[in-house]
Amino acid sequence: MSIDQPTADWFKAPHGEERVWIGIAFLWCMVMTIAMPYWYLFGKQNSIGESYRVTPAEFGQRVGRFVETNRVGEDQGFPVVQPAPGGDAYLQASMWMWYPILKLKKGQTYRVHISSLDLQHGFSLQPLNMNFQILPGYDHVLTLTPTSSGTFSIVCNEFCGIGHHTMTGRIVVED
Amino acid sequence: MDNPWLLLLLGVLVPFLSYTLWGWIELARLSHASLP
Amino acid sequence: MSAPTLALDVSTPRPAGNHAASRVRVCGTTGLPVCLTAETFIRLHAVAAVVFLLVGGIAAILLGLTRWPAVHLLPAQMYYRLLTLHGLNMLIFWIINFEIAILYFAGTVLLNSRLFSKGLAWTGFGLMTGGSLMVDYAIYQGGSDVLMTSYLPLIAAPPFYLGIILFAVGALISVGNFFGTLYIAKRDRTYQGSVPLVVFGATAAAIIAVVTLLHGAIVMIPTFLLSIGVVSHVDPAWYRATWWGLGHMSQQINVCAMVSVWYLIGTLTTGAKPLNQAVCRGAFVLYILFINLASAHHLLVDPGVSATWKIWNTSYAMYLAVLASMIHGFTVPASVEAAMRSKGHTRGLFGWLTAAPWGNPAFSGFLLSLVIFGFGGGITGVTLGTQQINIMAHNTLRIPGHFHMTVVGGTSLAFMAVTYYVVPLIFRREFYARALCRIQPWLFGIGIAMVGVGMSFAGSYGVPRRHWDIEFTGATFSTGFDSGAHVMLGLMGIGAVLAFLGLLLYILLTVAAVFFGRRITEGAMAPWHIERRPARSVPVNPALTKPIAVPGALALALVFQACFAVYYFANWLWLSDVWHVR
Repeated sequence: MSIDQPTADWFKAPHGEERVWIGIAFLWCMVMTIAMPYWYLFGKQNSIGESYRVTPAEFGQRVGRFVETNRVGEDQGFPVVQPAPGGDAYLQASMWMWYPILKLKKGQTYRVHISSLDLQHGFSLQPLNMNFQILPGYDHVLTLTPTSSGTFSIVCNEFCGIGHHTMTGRIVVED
Repeated sequence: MDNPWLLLLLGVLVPFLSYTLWGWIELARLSHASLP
Repeated sequence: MSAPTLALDVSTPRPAGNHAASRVRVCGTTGLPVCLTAETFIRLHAVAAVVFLLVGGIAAILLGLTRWPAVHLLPAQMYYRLLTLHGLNMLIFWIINFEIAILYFAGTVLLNSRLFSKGLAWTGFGLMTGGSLMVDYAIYQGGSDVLMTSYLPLIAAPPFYLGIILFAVGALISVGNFFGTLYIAKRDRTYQGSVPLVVFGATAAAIIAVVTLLHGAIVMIPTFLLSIGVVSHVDPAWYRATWWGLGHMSQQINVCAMVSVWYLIGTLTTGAKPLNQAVCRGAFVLYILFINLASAHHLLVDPGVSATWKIWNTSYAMYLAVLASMIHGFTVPASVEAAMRSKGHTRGLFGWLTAAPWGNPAFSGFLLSLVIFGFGGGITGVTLGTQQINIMAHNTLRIPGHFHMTVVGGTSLAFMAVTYYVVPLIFRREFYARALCRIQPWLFGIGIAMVGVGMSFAGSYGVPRRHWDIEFTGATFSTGFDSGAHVMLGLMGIGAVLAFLGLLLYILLTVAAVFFGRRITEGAMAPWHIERRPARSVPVNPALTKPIAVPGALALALVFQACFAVYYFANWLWLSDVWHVR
């Protein structure tokens, strides 16, 4: 039994139903093993973690320049900024806001740089439910292609202090 | 399988090398942002 | 006349143990030798475990009633404070104390050995207790609302980190005491051949505990120094990667300990024997080597670490550790099936299961734990831990949905189940209100399953974890979630109430028994169930060497596999609908 010493010759191959199950389980594990590299090569949704070191001051400055050069409007006191198609966009997370509002075009690919000016934050795009971790000191680059248009919300889903639940933002995508 | 010390050594070394050390190395090799 | 409840094989004479004559007693129920020193510490750690379970449990119901939007009980700061308290007291203080108790039991009672060192046991217990009290006090004072993960640059008060360090050192010393016991047992030849399977599983848990606690020291010491100003900067990405070496690897201690407890309860309640020792032990070895790589689960959508690192590590090395879990998920019920069939319960595919001792709360708790862990926790865990699927799941309520089904519905429920033997056999007291004992595992298990399902579905709507207000009151840009998410949070809330009642019941029944239960001074404990004779007794020829077929367990495993495949592929399908990202 499980609490007794086993008999001396316990090292035996499995047989019967045990053998069948181990075979099935192993095959399933191989299916799952192939799935991730397959999707990495051929799938359209990946998180390769492309990132660079940056200081919050540097990043904040770059965001400021981005807003100046690409601003197209305003909403609730936040600038609406339109990056060039195929170009770089910059988004900063800080307690407790996402700045600025990005205005993107459906079907275009952008390199969206996201970083934090203070604590860790969670970039959670709703209602699509796409989630990425945002760290201070790291420029996290997402090569993003919106495949749907409309108004989307950014929710912060990494605890960042007492205002955490008020930290929301916007991304707008036009056709 | 009857040697807990060998299992202890492997059980510490394998995850430390594969997860921790490799992870630290990746973080250390990041380059500075160009912010184009 | 009733058949004995514990059908243990006492026919093989045991070698002489290494106990001092006055420091051992023979268990009246199992015939096993109990080292009295180890018994003291099993009791101390079990009591400590239950105290912290109560603290974590009170926090749990308050949190559940806050995340249920219709109730929204706590104010914001208190929510984050109690969430910090809940995570640490449950995931660290309750569960590791119980695991040290299991290690002390497995290393001594099952190996016929005395405990290696009383001094180390006191030191370990003292540091663990002092450390946990220090952490809880720091949280109570209010300067440490950083949640269990305490992600830098969020900073807590120095005693928060110091308490965790002391707890980890104490736990490491206690684990060392277990290894010392393995050493002297072998040296003094208190057993022959290989160690019993439960001891092997406990050893796997202990090995994982060592690597876990080493990571804890590596991450917490610089962070503590940061909190007192000795060090000026600790990188947040380095912190995350290293912290999860503590955070997720500790959950793998829980998996090994839970599986070992499953084998133990299977034996104690049905006389189950492992079908194939090599398979079960091989599965534990796969755990030892590979299960800890999955700490990468938490970094799948992080900056800094590459896709290659993410994919290799999150796959537990080509899912070999998942294979191990799938193996145990089969061999554990298969051993019960074989035992029941050999007693004559051979009707149909599941006659062995319907005739099983469901009236024994250890058995029902064990089986519920197996089902909830496997179908709920395991399937969601592997799926959410898939590198790309994690994009849809990271930091949503799907994550706590998963781990409430593994570590609560799985490990904690298994620990509650084994308590129904720990109290009579180690504390030597009988339980009162046995009818209530019988329903306790169901109340807790069903409640926590509802919590897990409610959280998982709410999370798939995008509801964030660790978040006080999903109506986003006061936010500049208003947003919210589908009404379906609110319904699911309600399901979670109701489940939390049931689970809390189940937890309270467990604590009341256990405390009443330990302090006021009828003492068992000699002879066996009162059986939890009476062995039933099968309706049509099929005589089993003991000379038959052909192994017993286990089609019922295979059928259950195939149902599990089907559920797994459906859930897994459905998630890939949903992923293909979101925006393209690299």
